[in-house]
Amino acid sequence: MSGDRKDDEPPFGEQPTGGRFLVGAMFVAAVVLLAMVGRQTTPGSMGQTVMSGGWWAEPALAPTVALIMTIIASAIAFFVARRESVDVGKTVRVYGQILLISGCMIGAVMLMKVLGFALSILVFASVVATTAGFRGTRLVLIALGTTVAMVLIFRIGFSIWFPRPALFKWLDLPVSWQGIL
Amino acid sequence: MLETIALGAQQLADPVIWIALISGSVLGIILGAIPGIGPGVGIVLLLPITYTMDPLAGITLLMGLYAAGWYGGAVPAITINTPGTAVNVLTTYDGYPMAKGGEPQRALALAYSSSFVGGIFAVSVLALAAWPLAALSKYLTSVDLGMAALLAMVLVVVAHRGSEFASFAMLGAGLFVSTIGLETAYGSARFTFGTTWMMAGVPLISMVLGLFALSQALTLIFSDRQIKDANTEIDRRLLSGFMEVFRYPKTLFRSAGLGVGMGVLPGVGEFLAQFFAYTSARAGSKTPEKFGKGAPEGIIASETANNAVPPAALVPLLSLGIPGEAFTALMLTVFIVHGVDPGPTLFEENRAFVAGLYMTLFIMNFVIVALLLVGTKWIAKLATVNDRLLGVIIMCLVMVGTFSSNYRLSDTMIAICFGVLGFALRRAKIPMVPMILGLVLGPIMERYFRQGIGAAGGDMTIFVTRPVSLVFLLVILALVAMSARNAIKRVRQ
Repeated sequence: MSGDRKDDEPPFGEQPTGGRFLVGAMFVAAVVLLAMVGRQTTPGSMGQTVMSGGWWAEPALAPTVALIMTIIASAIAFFVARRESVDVGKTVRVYGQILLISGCMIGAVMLMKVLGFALSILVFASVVATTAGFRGTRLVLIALGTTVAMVLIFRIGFSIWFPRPALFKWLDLPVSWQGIL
Repeated sequence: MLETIALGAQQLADPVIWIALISGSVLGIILGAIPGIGPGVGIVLLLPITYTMDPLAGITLLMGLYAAGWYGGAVPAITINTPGTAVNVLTTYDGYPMAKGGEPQRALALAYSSSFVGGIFAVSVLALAAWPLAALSKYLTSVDLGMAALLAMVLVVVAHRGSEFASFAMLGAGLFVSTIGLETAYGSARFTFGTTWMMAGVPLISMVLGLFALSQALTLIFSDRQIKDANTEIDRRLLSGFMEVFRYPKTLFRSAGLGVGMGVLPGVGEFLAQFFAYTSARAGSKTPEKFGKGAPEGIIASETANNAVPPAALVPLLSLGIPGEAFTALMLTVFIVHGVDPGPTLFEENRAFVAGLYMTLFIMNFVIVALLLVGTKWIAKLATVNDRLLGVIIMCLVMVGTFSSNYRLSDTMIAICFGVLGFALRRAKIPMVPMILGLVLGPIMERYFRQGIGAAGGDMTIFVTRPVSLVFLLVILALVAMSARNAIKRVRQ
């Protein structure tokens, strides 16, 4: 993404980080998956009768070719990539926060069946806004504003259906409100 | 021709098409004008919604976003020297100095009028070229089409100069992901690990929402971009400078031609189109020393070329059914969901759809320019919206978008996995587009190759005995050889 820059500074000039590690991880993952090809590509029941027996119709062919491509390319990319020193503390902090947000997202989706659409969005938006560094009145306004926008877009605008939450069995809300919240 | 225009006009009688056209254009301009977001995120977020719409309305909405995004991206590029999207980078070189020199109106009017000419030129080429190409493609066999899909993938990898090997690895990963699930031809389970939820494969929606939108949201949340105040000295006299582009006809039409040429070629896209257009404009200019200091030809070259690309990118999709880049690959899924088969049969069986698409793409350019002429003053202020706030909003949209597509928690978890991967890829500057293209083109290529090789009884010489396939194969080999030679040279240096 573009940062704020001086007039003579080239745009999008941030230094790439972690590329070597990523292609290395891709290499390892592809090797492990390739070792599993035999067991993870079981011929289907239709294959016994319809398949003409040609090598080109083997279910393992396409994943094997794709994985071999990945292995070769990621291995070369690993050796070509520039060596870099990683700030472990910063990386752990950033990915730790991402893990927290991811966990909250899963939690919020699960909460939809209990609290309903609007309340789970409110909880999720509050957590994400806190992680993003918002505090006090701004935090409340952002969480509430985002929730209202989501309800307007998805529930009222596109009338997208969501499962009826358990909370509505206990609350005596009008049906029209239940359809929105 | 007149019949096509009448048929297209008939499609516009539906108010839903107009709603899609205007809302797509508005959203595109807004997302394009906010640095760091771009229309791609909007396309990905709206993709699940378009599946519930009529195909023409759905494609119009996405194309509106796609085209308007590049128009909108010029606004912060000119007013605050920060390109709204990556394809507006070269607009900053001359747009900002011109604005700084006291002529923001002139710079914006040049950008809008150049974009308009580029867009209209490309729609005309699409209308003239797609049908003959589709008619020719009727004579292509499965082997030829499979090889064309392979060529598209190779072009995408080669286009990522400097990171070819990482792009190739990403393409392989995308192709592998496309094989996961129950293979439809013979009912074989591939890499489902004994689970039932993996049988349906990796949902494209979850994958693209994760890779593009969620990763973007995470990047924005951790952003420390300093916000510049936009130059708000903009009034409504923009229209007065609208005709200035025609004083530079050579630059204008050469850039439009380059944009169309690059748009039709898979994998090349807006960035290289504007780069080539800018370089050739400077080379052909009588005053090359003014480039980078506010030359009108610089703005014209950059904006004409990048806006000619979106309609041109539809040529291979409509005529051959083969998308050349990520956004048209996503649009292919809209066709598939509605049972509309892009390729030769599209022009015979869905003539009304094709005519309607041409008409909406044509009118779209007028709508976008009208919106910009009215709203530039406010659009310029969008660049000052806080990145972290945008991150929070996109994050919530992704959460709802992934869950509402199938109401499965697994889809959200898949989106999160790809979101984290996308975030890491963004930081490492490894391109994600090859992965998406691998996922969409993988099953198409597998089907064509199976059919082709099967029909030949397993004889692989079919690839060299078919003339079209042989030409594609030779082009692929030449591209791979050239790319490998360049990469080896770079490594040695």
